[in-house]
Amino acid sequence: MSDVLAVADHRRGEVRDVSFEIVRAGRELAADLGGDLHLAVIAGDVDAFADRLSLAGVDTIHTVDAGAEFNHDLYAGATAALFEELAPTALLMPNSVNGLDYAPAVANRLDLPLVADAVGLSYDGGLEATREMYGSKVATTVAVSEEPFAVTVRGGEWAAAEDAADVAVEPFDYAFDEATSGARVQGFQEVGAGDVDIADAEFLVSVGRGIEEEENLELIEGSSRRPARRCPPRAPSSTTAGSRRTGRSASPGSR
Amino acid sequence: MRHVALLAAFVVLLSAVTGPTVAVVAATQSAPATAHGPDAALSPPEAGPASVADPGPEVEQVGALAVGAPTTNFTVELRSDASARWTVETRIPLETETDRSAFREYARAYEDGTADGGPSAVLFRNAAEAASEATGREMSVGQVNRTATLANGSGTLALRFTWSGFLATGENGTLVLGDAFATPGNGTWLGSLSASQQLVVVPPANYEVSDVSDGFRRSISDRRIVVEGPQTFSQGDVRIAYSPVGGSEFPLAWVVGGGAVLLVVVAVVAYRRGGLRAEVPGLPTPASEPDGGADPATADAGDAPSNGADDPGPTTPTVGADAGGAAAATESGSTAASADGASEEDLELLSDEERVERLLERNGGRMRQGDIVSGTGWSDAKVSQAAVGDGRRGPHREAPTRPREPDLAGRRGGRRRRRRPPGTDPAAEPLPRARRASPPAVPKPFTPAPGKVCAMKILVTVKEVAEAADDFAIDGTDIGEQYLEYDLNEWDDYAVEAAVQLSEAHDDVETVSVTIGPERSEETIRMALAKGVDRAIRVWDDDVAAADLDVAAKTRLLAAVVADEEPDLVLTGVQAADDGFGATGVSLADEIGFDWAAVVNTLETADDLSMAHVHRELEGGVEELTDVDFPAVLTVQTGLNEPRYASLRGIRQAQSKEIAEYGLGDLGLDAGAVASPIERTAMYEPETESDATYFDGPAEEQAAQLADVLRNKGVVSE
Repeated sequence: MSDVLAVADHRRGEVRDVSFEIVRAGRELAADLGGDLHLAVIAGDVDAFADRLSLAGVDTIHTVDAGAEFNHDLYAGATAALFEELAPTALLMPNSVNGLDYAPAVANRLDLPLVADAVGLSYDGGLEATREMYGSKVATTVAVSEEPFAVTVRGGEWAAAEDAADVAVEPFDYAFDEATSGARVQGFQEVGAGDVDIADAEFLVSVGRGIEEEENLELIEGSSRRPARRCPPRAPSSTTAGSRRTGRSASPGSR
Repeated sequence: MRHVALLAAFVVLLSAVTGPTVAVVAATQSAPATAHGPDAALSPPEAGPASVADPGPEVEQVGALAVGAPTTNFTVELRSDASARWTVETRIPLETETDRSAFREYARAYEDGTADGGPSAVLFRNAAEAASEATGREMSVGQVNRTATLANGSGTLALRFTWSGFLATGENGTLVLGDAFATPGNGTWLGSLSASQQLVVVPPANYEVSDVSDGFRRSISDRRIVVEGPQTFSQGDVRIAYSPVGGSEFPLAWVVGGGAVLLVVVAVVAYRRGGLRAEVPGLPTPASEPDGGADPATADAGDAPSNGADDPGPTTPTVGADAGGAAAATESGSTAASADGASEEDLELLSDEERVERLLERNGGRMRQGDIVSGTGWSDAKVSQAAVGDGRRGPHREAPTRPREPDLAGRRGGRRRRRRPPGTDPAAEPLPRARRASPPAVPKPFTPAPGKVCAMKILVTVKEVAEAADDFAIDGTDIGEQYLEYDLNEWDDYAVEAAVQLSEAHDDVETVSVTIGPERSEETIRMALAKGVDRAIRVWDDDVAAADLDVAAKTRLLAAVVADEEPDLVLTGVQAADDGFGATGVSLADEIGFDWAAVVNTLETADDLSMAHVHRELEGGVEELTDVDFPAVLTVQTGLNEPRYASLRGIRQAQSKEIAEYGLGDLGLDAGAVASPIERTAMYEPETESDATYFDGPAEEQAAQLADVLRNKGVVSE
C-alpha cells in the first residue's frame, strides 16, 4: 500500500510526452504517500519504451508485452490486473484520448473513485486534486474520501521528468488476443495534411466573429506571416489557457 | 438554448407575417363574400407579430419584440427567353444586438437550407407546378440560391431563382405576364399582397409595356411596374404584355383590358412548407371548395383565438376577450377569419398556420428572452429559469382537443408514466392534415409494432450543462446561480444528431434520450426531442438532487436505465462542458458489458447494424480507425456531424413527445446509489499570470511605446 501505479502513453512507436509528465506527477504523489512509483508500459515495443522511461523517481517499470498498439480492452485489462497485483493506493492514468478510452473502464471495474482531468495533486491524509471547470474559468479542489483511488492527469500540467536512471524492469504476464476484443483497431489515418498541429504551433492567432466572412481570413493570414520572429513562450493566462489547456490540443475540447 | 428559442422567434415572425397572405388567398377564392374584407384582413400589424404570443405573466413584463415588422419585396426580372429571375427579399429590422446575433444564427441555417421560415423555393416550385398544369406550358424553378445578410441594423433573407416558361408568348413577338399566376380551376396562387409586401416587375431587355390590365393598383418607376400591398387578386387580375421595342402597335398604352386579361403578380405565398399545396386545387383539399368550415386556411385562421376560448386556463380571458382586437392587429388574416365564427376547432383540419400560432403561444416567453434580458437587466440564466416549466403546463398551451396529460409537477418517483409513442395516438396526430402538409423531408414518426421489433434502439445521453457568464462571482463551491446559463451540452448535441441520423437512415430505429437533471432541464430535453429524438427519460428525485454525482453514481443511474430500455447502442458526448470529467460513457460501457469507443469523430454503421467502423480523434491530427461491435457505447466528439437546428415542425412535435420521469425507486436503486466519495471542497478563480501595462499620452506616443514593447518582446523584428 501507499504506492502509486502510473500508466504510460505511447503511440506508433513513440512515447508520448504525457508519459514523462505522469512520472513527475506520480513521483510527487508517491512522495506524499511515502510509497513507491510503479510505471506500467503496455503494448508495442515495451523494452524500448521501458528503456526510454527509465527515469529518476520511478521505482519499477512493469511491461506488458501484448499487442502492437493501443487497444482499450488490453489497456483496461492489463491495468486492472497490475493494480490487483500491486495493490497501490493511487492509480494514475493520462487524460489523453487513449486515457479517455480506458481509464473510466478501469475505475469502474476496480470500483475506484475516479477524478478525471486533474491539473494538480496533493496528499495529506487524503487525496486532494485540483481540476478546472466551466471551460477553465474556475479551478476547484476535490477531496476523495476513499482509497484506493484513480486519477487521470491532464497533459502539460506537470514538468516532464527527464533525468535518466537505472530502473528495474519487470515483465508482467497478461494474455490478450485482440481478435476477441469487441473493439479492434484497424489502423491510423493522418488527417488535415498540411494543417497545423496547434500543439506544435509557435504561436496561435485566434479569430473571432469580428472577421465576419471567411474571405476576410486573408487579412489575418497576411498579418500573421508578418511577425518575423518567434513569439516568446508566455505563461498561459486564463484566456489563452482556455484553448490551449482545456482544449487538450486537438483532443476533446477542441473545435 | 437561447438560439433555438430565438430561432423559433424568427420562424414564427416570418410565418406570422407571411401566413395571413395565404389565409386571405384561400378566403378570397372560396368565400369572397364573407365579412372579413381584405382591408381588414390586411391591415398592417401595429404591435408586431410578437404580440400574438402567449400573454402569460412573464410576458407582461416585457414590451414588444425589439425586432421590427419584416417587409418583403418580390422582384421579377423578366427575360426575353420567357423566363423570369425572381428575387424574394425579406428584410427584418433588428434593433438590439441580441436580435442581431440571433439573426446571425438563423442566417446560417437559412443559407444552409435547414431553417424553417424565410422565403422558400418549395412554395414557388409548387406554384410553378400548379401554373404549369393550368396553362399547359412547361415551367420549372431552378438556379435557386439563398443568402442572408445583416447590414445597417436589418437582416435580409434573399431567395433567388429562375422560373422558366414564366411568360406566355403572344403574337408579333409579344411576351405576356399573367397566366403564370394561375392555378387549375380558375384559381391563383397569388391571392394578395400584404401591406408589407411589394412586387416589382422589371421588363425584359429591349421590350416595353404594350398593355396592362386594370385589375390591380400599380405605379411605374423606371420602366418597372411596382405593385404595392395591401391588395388582393383574383385569377386574371394581373396581366402585362410586353412588345419588342419598336414593334408594338400600342406603345405604353395603359389601357384596361376590360377585365379580360389581367396581370400578374403577386405575392406570395406563405413561407411555410406545404402551405401552398393546400391552396392548389387538385390536392386533397381544394382551396376552391366553397365550404368555409372545411377550408383549411379558414380553419387555420380560426384556431388561435378558439384555442384560447376553449381553454379554461387563467390566461384565457386575455386571449379570448382580445381575440378580435390584439390578435387582429397582428395576425390580420387569421383573426378576421376567426372572428367569423370559424371557431369550431377540428384538429384534423388544423393547418400549419394554426400550429404556428400555437407554437408562438408556447414559445411566447422564450422568444422574448433577449428582450427580457435587455429590458430587465436580469441575467440570461435567470430569464432562462423564469421561463422554465412554462413549456407544457400552461393550460392554454395544450391543444384543446388533445388528451390532457396528467400534471407531472408533483410526481416524483412512484409510478412510471408510459405513454403511447408519438404517432400512435390518433387524437394527437391529425393524420390527414399531416399528410397533406408534410413535405417528403419530414421524417415519419416512429411506430413501434408489438414486442421488440425495432431494428435498433438508441439511447442518447443528454446533459444540460451550466455555462458561466463572462463576469461571474463564486458562491461557496460553485459559481453563483445567477451567473449560470443552461444549455444542451455541446458534445451531446452531436450525439443526438448521430442518433437521429441513424433513425432516419434505417427503418424502425427508436431513439430515446436520457438525462439526469432537474425539472429545469426539460427545456433542454425538448430541444433534443425537437431535433428528432422519439422520447425522453429524465432521472431525478430528491435523493439525486441532494447528491454530488460522481462518475460512478452516474454510471449506476444510467446502467439502470439501460437495463430497463435495453438499447443496442448508447451515444454520449465525450465530455460535459461544465465539469468535464469525460468519463461517464466509457465507465457505463464497462458496467453494462457493452463494447465501446471514446472520442469518435467518424461513424459508419454496418448495414445490418451489427457493428460500426469509427474513427477516434487522437491528438495531433491522427485518427485511429476502429471496428466496434454492437451493442456499444460510443462517446461522440464534436465534429462528428453537423447538428441540425430544430425545425419548426420538430419544435411543434416535441411538445407532445413523452418525457418519462424516473426516480431512484423506479430504477430499483436507493440513495446509496448516488453516494459519492468525491467532494468538491473549493472553487476559485485561477490566478492569471498576465500583467497589464497601460500606456498614457497622445496616440502617437502610445503607439511608439507599444511598438517598443513589441520589439523588446520579440514579437516583431527591427
